[in-house]
Amino acid sequence: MKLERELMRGAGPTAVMQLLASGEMYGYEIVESLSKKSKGVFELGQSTLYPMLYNLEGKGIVSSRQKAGPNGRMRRYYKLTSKGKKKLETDRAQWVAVVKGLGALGVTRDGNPGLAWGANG
Amino acid sequence: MTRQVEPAVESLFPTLDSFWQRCFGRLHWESQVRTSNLPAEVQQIIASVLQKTKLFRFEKSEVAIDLIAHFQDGHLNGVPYSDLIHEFGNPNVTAQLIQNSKLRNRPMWMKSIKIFGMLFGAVVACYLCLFFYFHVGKPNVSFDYITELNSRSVAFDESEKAWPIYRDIWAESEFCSPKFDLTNLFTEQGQGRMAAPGDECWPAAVAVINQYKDLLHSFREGAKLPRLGLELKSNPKDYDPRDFAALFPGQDQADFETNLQKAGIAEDALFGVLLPHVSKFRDAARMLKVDIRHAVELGDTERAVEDIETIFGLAQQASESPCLVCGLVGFAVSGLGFDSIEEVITSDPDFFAGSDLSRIQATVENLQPRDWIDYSGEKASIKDLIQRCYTDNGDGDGRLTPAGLDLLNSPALIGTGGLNGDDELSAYRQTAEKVFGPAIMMASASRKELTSKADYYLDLYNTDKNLPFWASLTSPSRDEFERLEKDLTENATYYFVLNKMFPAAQTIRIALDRVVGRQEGIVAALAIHRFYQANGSWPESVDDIAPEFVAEFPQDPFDGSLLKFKYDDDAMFVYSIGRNFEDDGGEDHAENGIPMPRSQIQFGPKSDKFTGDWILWPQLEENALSGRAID
Repeated sequence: MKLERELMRGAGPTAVMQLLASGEMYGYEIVESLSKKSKGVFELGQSTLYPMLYNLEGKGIVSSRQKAGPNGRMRRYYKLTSKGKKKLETDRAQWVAVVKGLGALGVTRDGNPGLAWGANG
Repeated sequence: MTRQVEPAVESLFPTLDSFWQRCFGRLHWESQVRTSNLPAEVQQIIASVLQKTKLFRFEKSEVAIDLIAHFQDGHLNGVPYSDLIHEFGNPNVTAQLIQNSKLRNRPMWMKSIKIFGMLFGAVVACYLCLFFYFHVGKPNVSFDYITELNSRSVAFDESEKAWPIYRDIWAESEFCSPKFDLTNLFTEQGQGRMAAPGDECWPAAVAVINQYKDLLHSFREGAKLPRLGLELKSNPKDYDPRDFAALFPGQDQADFETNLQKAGIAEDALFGVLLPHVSKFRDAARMLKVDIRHAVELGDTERAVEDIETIFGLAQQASESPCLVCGLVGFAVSGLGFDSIEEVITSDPDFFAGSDLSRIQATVENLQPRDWIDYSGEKASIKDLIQRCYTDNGDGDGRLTPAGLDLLNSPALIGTGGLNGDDELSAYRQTAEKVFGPAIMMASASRKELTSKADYYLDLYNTDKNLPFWASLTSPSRDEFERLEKDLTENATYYFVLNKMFPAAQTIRIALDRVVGRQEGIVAALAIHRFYQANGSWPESVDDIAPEFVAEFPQDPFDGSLLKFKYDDDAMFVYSIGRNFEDDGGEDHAENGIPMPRSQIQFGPKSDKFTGDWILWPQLEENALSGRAID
C-alpha cells in the first residue's frame, strides 16, 4: 500500500529512526529493511530516503560516516544519535497516542476499518 | 541539458593525479561517478541529479557516494538496474529534494559564507558601477583665475607702474638669473651677515654696489610709483619678449617650459604661474641696505633716506599680487628697511636731521602691511585647482575625477615633488589610484563642500587680518578658526584637497602682527628721537610727543594701550607688554625661562610660560650691547 505523501512525511522519519535504533545501516539497507519490516507499507525510493536522511542529519538526529563496503566501494553508514533516541521516544509516544485515538474513533479496529462505522454501536 | 560525464582517459601525469586525488579526490564527484563501474545510463542519472543541485562541490561528492552506493548495493542484491532506475524517481524532483534538505541543514558558518559571498558580490557590483561613474568624470575648466589675479596690476595707468622702469635694466643686468651674484655683499663667502664698513669684504661689497648703480637707480625711481604693474602669465611663452627677457634672462622663450608644461598637465593653471621677480625684491633690498651703509660712511643723508624710502616702496610692490608668498616677501623687504633705520639711528643718532627723520617716519607710518596679506589669491588658487580636479554639474557641485587625482599627485605640481611630496609617481601608485579612485572620490568632500569651506574661511581670514591683534583675541572669528583647524584635522581624508592647499593662516597672522608691531615701535622711536633732537632731552611722557611729533602715539598690539618707552644709560627703549600682558619695565621676554630673540615674539592669548616684555626698539640684538646691527 502506497502511503500518501503527507502521511509519509510524518511517519517516514519515525520509521527510519526506529530502524536505526537497532544499529548502523547504509542507505540501500535502510530501504530494504524498511520495506520488509513494515510489510511493504514504507516503500521509500532514493528521492525520498536520502533527502530524509540529510534532514535528520542536519537536525542532529542521525549521524553518518563513510566506510568501505565489502566490495571496497565507499558507503555512508547512518546511525541514531542520543538526541535521535530521545526524539524517537517522543515520536513513539505520540504515535501510540495517535493510534489509540484513531482506534477510539473507530478508524482502526482489529485491522478492519470498514466495520468501524456503527459496528460497535 | 545533461552534461556528459567524460570517459576516463589515461593520465599523462599519474604521480600528480595520484597526489591530486589523495588531496582533493573527494571533491571530484565527476570522477567518482565515472569510476563507479555503473552502467552509463545510471551514471547519467546520478550526474544529472548532482549537476542540478546548487550545492558546494564537497556536498555533491557526499551525495554522489550515497547514490552510487545505493545502485551498487541494489545490484549486488540482485535487483536489475532497470528496476533501480525505475525506483529512483524523477531526477529533477530528486535533485530539488536533495538540494532543499542539504541547504536547509547547512551549518550556520556555511550559510554565513554564502551570505557573505552574496554581499561581497553586491559590493563588487556596486563598486564596479562606481568605478565606471568615477572614470567617466572629467573636469570642466570654466573660469580664468589668472585674469582675476592680474586685475590689481593692470587696473592702473601706465604712468603709475614701475615695471616699465625695471624691465629693461633687469634684462640687461640679468637680475632674475640665478647667476646674478650677490655673494660679495655678505661676509664669510656669502654665508655670514651683510657686509659693513670695517669688514674685510667691505670694499668688494662696495664694488658690487657701484657695479650695479644703474640697477639701484632704477629701484629708486621705480619704487616711487604706487604699482609694480606686471601682468603675470601662466605660460612664459605668452609674455612680451621684453618681459620674458627680464624675468627669465638667458632663456630661449620659444623653448621655455614650466614643470607643469613638461608634465603636460594644467598648463594654464593659476598655481602654475611663476613669480621669479618676487624674491628679487629681497635682493634689491639687500643691495640697498649695503648702499645705506655706504651712504652713512660717505655722510650722504639724502642717499640714505632715499634708499630707505625705496626699500619700503619695493615692499609695497613685491606684495602687489594677492598671493600670500608675495605678502611675506613684502614683510621681509620691509624688515630690511626697519633694520636699516634702527642701525643708522642707534649707531649715529645725529646722522639724520630732523627733516630726514620726519620723512622716514612718514614713510613708515604710511605702510599698510595688512594690505600686503590678501587671501583672495589663495582662494583663487584653491578654486582653480578644484575646477581642474572636479566635474561641474552646473550648480557649483561635482565629484573628484581621475584627472584630478593625477594632478593632485603629480610631482610637477608646485615643483617640489607634488602635493604628496614624493619624488615621482610610481606605476604601483598610479594603478592603485585607478583602482581605488572611486573609493577616494566617495571618501572625500564634494566640489561644493570644498568651495564653500574655502570661501567662508578665507573671507574670514581676510576680515580678521585687518583687526589689530588685541581686537582679534576677542573676535568670534577665533572660535571659527579653531573649529576649522579641528575639522581639517579630524576629517583629514575627507578634506585632503583643502589640507594640501590651505594656508597656514595662524603663522601668517603671527608674521603680520610682528611686522605691524615693529612698524609701530619704529614710529614711536622716531617720534621720540625727533623730540630728543628738538629738545636735547628725552620726553617724559606721551603728551610731550603727541601730537607734535606723531599724530597719535602707537598702540601696543597686545592690549591696545599705548606703547611704553624708557631710557637706560642714555639709550632709548620702546616696548610692548608682551605675551604675559604685564608691564615688566622693559625686561626682555623669555619663554619657560629661556630668553628669546626680540624678533621671535609669539602672539596668542595670555600665557604664564612667557615673561618679560617685547622690546620693539632696539630690536637688532647686538644693538642692545654694542650699537652694531646684525642681519
